[in-house]
Amino acid sequence: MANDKPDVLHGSLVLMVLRTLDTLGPQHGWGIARRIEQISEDGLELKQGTLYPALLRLEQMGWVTSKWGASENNRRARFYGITRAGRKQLAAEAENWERISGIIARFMKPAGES
Amino acid sequence: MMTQLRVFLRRLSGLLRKGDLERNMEEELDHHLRMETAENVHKGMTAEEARSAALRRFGGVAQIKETYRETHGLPVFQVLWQDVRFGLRMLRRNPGFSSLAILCLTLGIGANAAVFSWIEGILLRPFPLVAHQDRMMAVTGTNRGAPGHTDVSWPDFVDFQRNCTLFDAFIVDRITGTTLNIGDRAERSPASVVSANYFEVLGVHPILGRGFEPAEDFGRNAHPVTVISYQMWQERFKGNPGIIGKTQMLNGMSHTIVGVGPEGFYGTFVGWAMQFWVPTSMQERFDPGGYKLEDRGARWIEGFVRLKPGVTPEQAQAEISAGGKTVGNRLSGDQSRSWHQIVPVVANPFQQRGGAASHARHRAGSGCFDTPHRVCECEQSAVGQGFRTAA
Repeated sequence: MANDKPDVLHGSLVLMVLRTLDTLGPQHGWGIARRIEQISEDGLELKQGTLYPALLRLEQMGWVTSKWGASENNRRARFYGITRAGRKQLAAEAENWERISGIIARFMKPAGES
Repeated sequence: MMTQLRVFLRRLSGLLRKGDLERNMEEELDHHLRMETAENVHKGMTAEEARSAALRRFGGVAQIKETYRETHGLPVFQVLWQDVRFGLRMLRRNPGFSSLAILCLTLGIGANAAVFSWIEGILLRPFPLVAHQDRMMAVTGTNRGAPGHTDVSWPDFVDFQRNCTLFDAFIVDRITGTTLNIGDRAERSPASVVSANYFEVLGVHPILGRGFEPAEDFGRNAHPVTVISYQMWQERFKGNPGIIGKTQMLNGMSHTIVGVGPEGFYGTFVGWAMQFWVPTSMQERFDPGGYKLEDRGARWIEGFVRLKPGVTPEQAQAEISAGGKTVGNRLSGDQSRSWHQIVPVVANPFQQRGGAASHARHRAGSGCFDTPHRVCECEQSAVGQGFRTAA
């Protein structure tokens, strides 16, 4: 059953994380994971843990920053926020994504329709 | 590019903050699991169910942590460091084997280094401090009809210097010496008669005073000047900084000390540590057998050449052969039967290197100068190793 869910490609995970942070403002890891699951309506096979190395990589790239703060359960949590470089990257990746998905979509049209 | 650099720097600094990494990672992942568990409980699961559902959803915690660590630092360095530590542990565990292996390596490397430095000293760069030794070659004369080699005469040499264009320089060097008093005993000091351009061409700069000046090549015994070695300066003159301009009796003639050679320069005879040098004009004083500077038949000096960059020994030989003909035009009598050859410094038959040199000579395949007969063959086969000074 779970096997029917598409794997999340690394590139698209980056896009989803940046988009989430851009939309919602600073979030801790669990918040980002929940948001991605909600938006995708649990349609993705995403192990939540894979988010953390990805966040670390984004931070190293300079696209997000992190700060420790208090979480809603009154524990210390790490909050991630998007940077200006991250927004630029988001814009670039979003455009790229649209272009590619547009191309793929044209391929997938029923034959003879165009 | 900038991004890659930033990533590298952050990872590098990540290496140094490993303690922070572990603590923060634990805390962050723990927070995540607690949040997820709490939500599962909220949905109506028991605490136990909620926790295991959270773990399932999270994926392999250990695996995630490992990926996280790898991303955090520079895995190549870290793995390398692990390997080094593992290696050291294994060495400690088998001390017998380890010391045997280390001993073998030590001896092996040591023997290699010894052989290489011997080869380097004898064959590759025989003269300490001399610049561009890779382009240096020796010039020898050979006599038709007689085995072996001769030296070169000063007039021949001057002609080569004047007529040849493929060479940076020609220098000459004649082994000689004198007897000096050291306290109450006498000591033989080896020395060289050299052309005035000697120090300049070798790139050896006197640390005090100067080398020789062009005019000091000429005039019969006209320039009693000498450049002394660093060793002589230290031992005989106690490193006296005011030594320049002082005089020293050499072979019965008072010589003015005009320069002190640099430490570690011993001249251009392998196996000899020259103590002083005098210019060519002093030949008669230091070389037995009378005055030879105007006698083309008097072959008393060893010549060295330095090829211009990119010039092959064959080209150089060809030019010496051609130049030799103009030299030969002024020759007469049995001197017309003489030849000149340039040979690798290592194969120089006059340098005191016996076996090593002759092996190298055969290895190099330049057997052209073993007999005059073979010199002829070489010229005919256009190898260009042998040639005549006579037309």
